[in-house]
Amino acid sequence: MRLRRRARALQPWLFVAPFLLAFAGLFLGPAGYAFWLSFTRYRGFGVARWVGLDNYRFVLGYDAFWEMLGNTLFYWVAHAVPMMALALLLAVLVQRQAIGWTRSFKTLVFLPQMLASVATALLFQNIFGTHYGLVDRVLGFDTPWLTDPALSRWTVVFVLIWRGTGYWFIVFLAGLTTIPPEVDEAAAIDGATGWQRLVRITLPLLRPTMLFAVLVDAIVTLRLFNEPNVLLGKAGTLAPASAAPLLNLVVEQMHSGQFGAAAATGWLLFVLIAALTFAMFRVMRERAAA
Amino acid sequence: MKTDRTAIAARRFSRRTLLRAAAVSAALPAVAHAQKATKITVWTWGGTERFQRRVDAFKRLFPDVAARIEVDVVSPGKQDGEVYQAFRLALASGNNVPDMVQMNYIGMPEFAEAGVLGDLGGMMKPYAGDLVDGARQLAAYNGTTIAIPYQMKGKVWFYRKDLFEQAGIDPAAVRTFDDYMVAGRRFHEKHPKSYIMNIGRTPIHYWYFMILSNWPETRVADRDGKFRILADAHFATLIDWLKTWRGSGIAFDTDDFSPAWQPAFADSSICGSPISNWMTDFLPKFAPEQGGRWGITLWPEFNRRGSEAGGGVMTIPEQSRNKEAAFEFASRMFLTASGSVDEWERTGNPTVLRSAQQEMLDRNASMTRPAGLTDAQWTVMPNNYFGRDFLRPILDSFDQFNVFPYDPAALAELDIMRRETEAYIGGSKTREQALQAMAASMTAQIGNPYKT
Repeated sequence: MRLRRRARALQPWLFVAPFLLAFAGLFLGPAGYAFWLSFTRYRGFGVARWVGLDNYRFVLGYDAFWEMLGNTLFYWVAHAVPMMALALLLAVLVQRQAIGWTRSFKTLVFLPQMLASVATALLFQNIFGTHYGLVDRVLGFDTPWLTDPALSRWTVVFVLIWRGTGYWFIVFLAGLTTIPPEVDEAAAIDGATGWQRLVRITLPLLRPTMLFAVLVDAIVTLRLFNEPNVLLGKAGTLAPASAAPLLNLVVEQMHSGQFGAAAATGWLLFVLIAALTFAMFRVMRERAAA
Repeated sequence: MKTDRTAIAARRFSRRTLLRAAAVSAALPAVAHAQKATKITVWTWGGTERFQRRVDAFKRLFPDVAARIEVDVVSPGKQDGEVYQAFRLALASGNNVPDMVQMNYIGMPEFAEAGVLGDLGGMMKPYAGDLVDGARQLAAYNGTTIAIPYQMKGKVWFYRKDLFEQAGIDPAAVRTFDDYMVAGRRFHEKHPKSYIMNIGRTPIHYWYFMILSNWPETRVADRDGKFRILADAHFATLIDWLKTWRGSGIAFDTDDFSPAWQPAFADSSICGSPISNWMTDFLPKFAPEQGGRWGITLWPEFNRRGSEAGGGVMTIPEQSRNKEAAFEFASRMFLTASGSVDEWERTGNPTVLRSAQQEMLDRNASMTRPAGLTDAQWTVMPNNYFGRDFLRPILDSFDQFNVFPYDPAALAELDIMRRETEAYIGGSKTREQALQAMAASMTAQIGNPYKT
């Protein structure tokens, strides 16, 4: 009897075991090794020399780290706000049937998402290229969209919004379909305007979807690499420091054989993402409770 | 009947068996021969196709040797940095260490200092006397011969002969930095849409050591780990020049290998380029209709010496199990006259051997359009595009060749130098701030580059 109970208790673990083994072997193990490596000076071969917190001190004292961190946070905030707002607006318009040709519209909006991020960045590199790009040629400008530090980051933001809107549009549309239509109808009967229904009913009920969207987008953007480097880099080189995301520092350190420092930077990025995620959860939950 | 059939069958069987045995016996030496071939693995970047053509040439030129040595080409990545990365990982794991690794000289000191590259002094001895001086520099690190040089990247100045003449500029008369600036202004005045060079806000990596290698005593760090950024005025000179060229109006505002670079040659916005000899491979493809209008000469005297990242070398890891076979392959292809001249014909890399230079020049002078080449392909052949004397200035640049004394942290130092120079060019830092930041970052990030 006891054996049977034990066997039954073990059953769920057996089903989950393959994932747990893969997680331990492919994530926890390497993450733990990277954590240990972050306290050493190691060039990728030879002996790893223990240096304690030196790598963390170097990275935190490095102005390039703060510049790239600033760029990363800029990309996140500057693209997330307009992109989420646009995606939500389009989803609401489609859900309320304000746009007639919804099937074609959904396809058009989602189309950019079907392109690989590298292909997208290469495309926009030709569109915004200095001197010979499509924008400059058609409009007669000679604007350094990709080389001027004041402009180049906004070009990256534009590409992120262009590519990302379609995906979150679909997510918000799916979220909107989970809201019972009777709630909205009842509010309409009670005389609520469209705006009031949107702000007082739709958005609060959509909060779980929005939390998911903001969190996932934040995590993805904080690990941004492709768009800035393909758009702003040259053959064989990464984006300049004035526009480089934080992951560039990890890549540069690895390429120059500074594995300990690269591991430290990676762990600092992880802590940042975890802290931001936790903070966003708290804020959204507090608002929901209120 | 039955007996006859059995007898016939038995005879047939015997005949077949004998024939099979004879075939096997004939094949055995070939099998044994094939089993004797040593397989070596070579790592290169940018795909395997280019190096595979080298292997094919090896089989064609040295069939007897090729019968003993089988070459397997692997490309761990698109750029040399990815090859170094893969090499570090192979060394760390002890698995899949290749028999030969292609490197740019700048990437070699890291591995040489760690003692993971084989000492080739003994094997290179018979060839050392025939190497041009620059190639001998490429073969050595800290007094030890550890590489087979295959490509010298000398400094040459490409310029539009026709437009320079119209502007009244003689490249030979451009000697000092001020002469260069005057020539640049005069050129732009005469040709308002064209420039004597190009440089953008983020100068490509090779500018740094191309300029610094002019001064033989300049190095980034001493052997005791002390960085010389503030002590050696040439670092200030370097970043000043880069900023001045960009801001003075003599340079087209785009960096090498940016999207605008190639079209700028095609529409004659860029009419000059002080760069390295490998540009003979790119320029004809950028502007095929400009054949015959480009000249090649040495850099102006004020920065004539040096090289671009030194050049290309083949190294043999200490852990390689087939060092002799790997060296034999490389020495045949790069250190024999037939191999090195064939290398030049295939890749444009001039020979590194004194004894083969005349043969290379003679072949170039007498070269006619190869059979089967289309008009488009013939147009971009360097000796057709630049003229039959195009090799002379390249060989002259080898007399000015100097390899910068890179240290094991050269790649990390270059990243830091570039970052601070970009800040200086962009105006967010003064020169002193940029140099101070360079020195401080190198000290903090790298420590002593000769110690890990």
